[in-house]
Amino acid sequence: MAEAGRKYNFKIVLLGEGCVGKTSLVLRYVENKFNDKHVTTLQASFLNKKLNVGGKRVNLAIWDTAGQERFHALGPIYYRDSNGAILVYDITDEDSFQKVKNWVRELRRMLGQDVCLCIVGNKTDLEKDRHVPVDEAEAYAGSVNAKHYHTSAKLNRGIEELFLDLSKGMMEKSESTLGRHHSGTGGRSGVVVVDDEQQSARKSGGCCG
Amino acid sequence: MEQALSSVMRNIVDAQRLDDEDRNKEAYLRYLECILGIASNLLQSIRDAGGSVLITKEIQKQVRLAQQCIERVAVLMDKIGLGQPGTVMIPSEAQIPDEGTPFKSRSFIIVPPLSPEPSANTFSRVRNRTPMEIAYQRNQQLMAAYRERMTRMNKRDPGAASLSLTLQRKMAENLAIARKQEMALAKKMQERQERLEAEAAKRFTAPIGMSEEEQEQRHIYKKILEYEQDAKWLQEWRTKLESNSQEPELICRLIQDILRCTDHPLTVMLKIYREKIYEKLYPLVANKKQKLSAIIVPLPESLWPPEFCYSDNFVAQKNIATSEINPQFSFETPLFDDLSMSLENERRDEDADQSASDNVTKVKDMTAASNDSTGIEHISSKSSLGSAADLDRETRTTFDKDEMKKEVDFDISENSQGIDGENKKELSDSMAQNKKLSQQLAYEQERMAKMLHQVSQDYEKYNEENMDDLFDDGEENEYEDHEKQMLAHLPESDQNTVSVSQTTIGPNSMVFRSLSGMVQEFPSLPSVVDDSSEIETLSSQAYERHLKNISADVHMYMEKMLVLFTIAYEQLDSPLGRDQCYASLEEMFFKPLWKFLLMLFRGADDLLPVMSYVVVKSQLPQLVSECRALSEFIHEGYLMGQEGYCLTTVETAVSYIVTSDLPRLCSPN
Repeated sequence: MAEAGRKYNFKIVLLGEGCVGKTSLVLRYVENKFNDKHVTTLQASFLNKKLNVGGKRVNLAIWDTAGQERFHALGPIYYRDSNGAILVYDITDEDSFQKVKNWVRELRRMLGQDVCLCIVGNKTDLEKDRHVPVDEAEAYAGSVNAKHYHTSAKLNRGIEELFLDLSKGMMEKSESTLGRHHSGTGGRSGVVVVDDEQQSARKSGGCCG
Repeated sequence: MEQALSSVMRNIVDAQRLDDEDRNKEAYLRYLECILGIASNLLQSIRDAGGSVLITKEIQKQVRLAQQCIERVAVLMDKIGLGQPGTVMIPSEAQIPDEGTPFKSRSFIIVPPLSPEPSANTFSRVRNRTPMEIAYQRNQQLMAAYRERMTRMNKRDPGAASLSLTLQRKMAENLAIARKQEMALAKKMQERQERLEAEAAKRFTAPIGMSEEEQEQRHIYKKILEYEQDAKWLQEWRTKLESNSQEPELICRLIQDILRCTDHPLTVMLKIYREKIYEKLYPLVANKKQKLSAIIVPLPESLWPPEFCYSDNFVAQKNIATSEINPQFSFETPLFDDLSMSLENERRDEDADQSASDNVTKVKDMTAASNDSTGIEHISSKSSLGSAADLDRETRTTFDKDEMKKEVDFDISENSQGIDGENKKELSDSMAQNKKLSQQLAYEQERMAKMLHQVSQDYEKYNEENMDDLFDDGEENEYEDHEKQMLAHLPESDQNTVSVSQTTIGPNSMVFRSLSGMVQEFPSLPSVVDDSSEIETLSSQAYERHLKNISADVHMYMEKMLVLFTIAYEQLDSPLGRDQCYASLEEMFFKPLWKFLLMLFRGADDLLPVMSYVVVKSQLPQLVSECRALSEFIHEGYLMGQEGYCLTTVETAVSYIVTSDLPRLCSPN
């Protein structure tokens, strides 16, 4: 497989309690928009972002929730086959951090070690109201093999870095799993690496591999 | 005088040229200019004559010209037609009051007209000109030719007189012929009217004992028939439909064709209904629209957390003071700022006072006299604006006061360490100034409290008199205006208020909590304290009711349109026909409204509830298995993309319904 023609497609899910700023985060990243006044998810909850990491093209399909968490209806179908998960908590809200822990358990149980986890403390612009200690958060992230980030969607801090690191992590992971999968079956793996030439043919074929 | 006349003449010639070229709107404008020019000429001549009215030949001539212009204007007006885009007054985007000028022109919500539909696909009936119009035009051409010849001829030429006589005779002939033709045509039209009337009557029962709605339907039916007389394609459609009434594609195309035809009576009705929905919808989303447009990159400074600017400022002052480079500097500037601020406040107060008292009287008038809901809506929002503005000013004044006290205290402590005579003097001066300012502020506050009380009383009275629907509108607007005001002034208002509103969630709670926060700081406003929580619940209820009303209206109007279509085309009165009708109508009806409906939608957080509703309503028997099959066999590239997201949302909705009590609730039993 030629390195240059490679194109990565990753699915990233955003998880976290309502109002921690998931949508702000992704909107800031994809469209560089921030709305101070927006209250809940304002725009479409599915966003695509194309980027170039080390000469390789990466396409991120970012899945924002559509209010499922309010109805406790955020099931495995939502995060199935995802390559990365961004678990967002609000640094001023201790409860939201506890929710992140639940999500980590759930994801590790359903997806194993194949998924890259990022734990993100959002709203660092409200540092003075911090209720989740930095040390605790980072120690926890380390213990579950996840990376920890601080972001502020409002001030556009740390977001670019978060997604870039996550993309790199997912690329590494896909390389290693691809190595394993190459010898094995072509079944439904989480990552899709598509050759450009093959893509159109595959799409029209439209059947499971 | 002579010069003025010649310029008018030149203008008229120009107008006629435009008229001949069928540039109706331009010609219309030019004619109006001519009339204006003549009128001002005449006035000027009176003024020149020292106020006495002298009728000269010149004046007679000008009056006659003006008369002709008016006639042409009337004709052109008919040609241009009623209610077309471009002829309506269009309040542009820029006229919507922006956040920067809260005290001016924010009196009511302007409902901008719906954007005109894409004109590429639409068309309207080509109206034939009446014989009179043709005759007018011909006469004008004659006139123009005559004038041209006259200019070429010597004025003293004996031929000129005879020429003008010929011209007059010719013109009179033209008009007479036209009149005859018109009469014949009118007779024919009347006959046709009668025939159509009879046809309409055949379709409906006798006009006596008919409900208002039936009469209206009959009236529209007649109009449709009348329209069809002039449009061959519609007649062709009718025969096609008669021969093949159950072809869905045919029905669909027919309806689309009709709706594309902008002046077909059915299209006109659809537009009227759509307008009505839009008018109701707009006040609910006007606020959101502004908010959405506020999303800009990079983050504008006005949206920065206000404590930043404040604390930075404070720290800077402190630094200057402690380093003792120039003690007076830190001493005087804040006070000066305060003074100018309060002066500005006062000026604004005066303006606002004026407008508020105006509003109060207007509200009174309106409640007494009018039943027009939109009118009241506007006015009530005006009154609420008054109170909102008051509140806002209150925060500002308290803010000033606080800041001033802090500043002065701070200065005292700073300066007491190294007192010298000059500083002492400055200090006492500033203390006196401070006292004066606080007095002024107290007086202002008192006045505001009074005014606010009056406004809220009036508002309550108005509410009592106008419960129900009208009340809804007023409440809604009030809430929105409050919010707007608050948001506009967050950076300037008190720090406490800001932090409260930042940490709370949801527009309702935010506004009202910050409101009550302000009220606590300002205890002399008992009426608002009592009302705020009540208003909160009432406004959310009203909002729901308003939305329900809108959706009920949508259903009603769609039903009405369907009835009209089935009346016009009996063949459509079948399950299949009705389905097709609905589908085509919905597309036309909602297309321009979508933008605003989506603003109503709070975002993707509403997606799951909405999806669940759709799933339940659609009653698709095999939805679960279809979803399952899709997710099993779809290519994984799709599963990861938008398609997959959609599928997942549907699946989530389905599983949500399955796990909740919804099926039980929705079952007919």
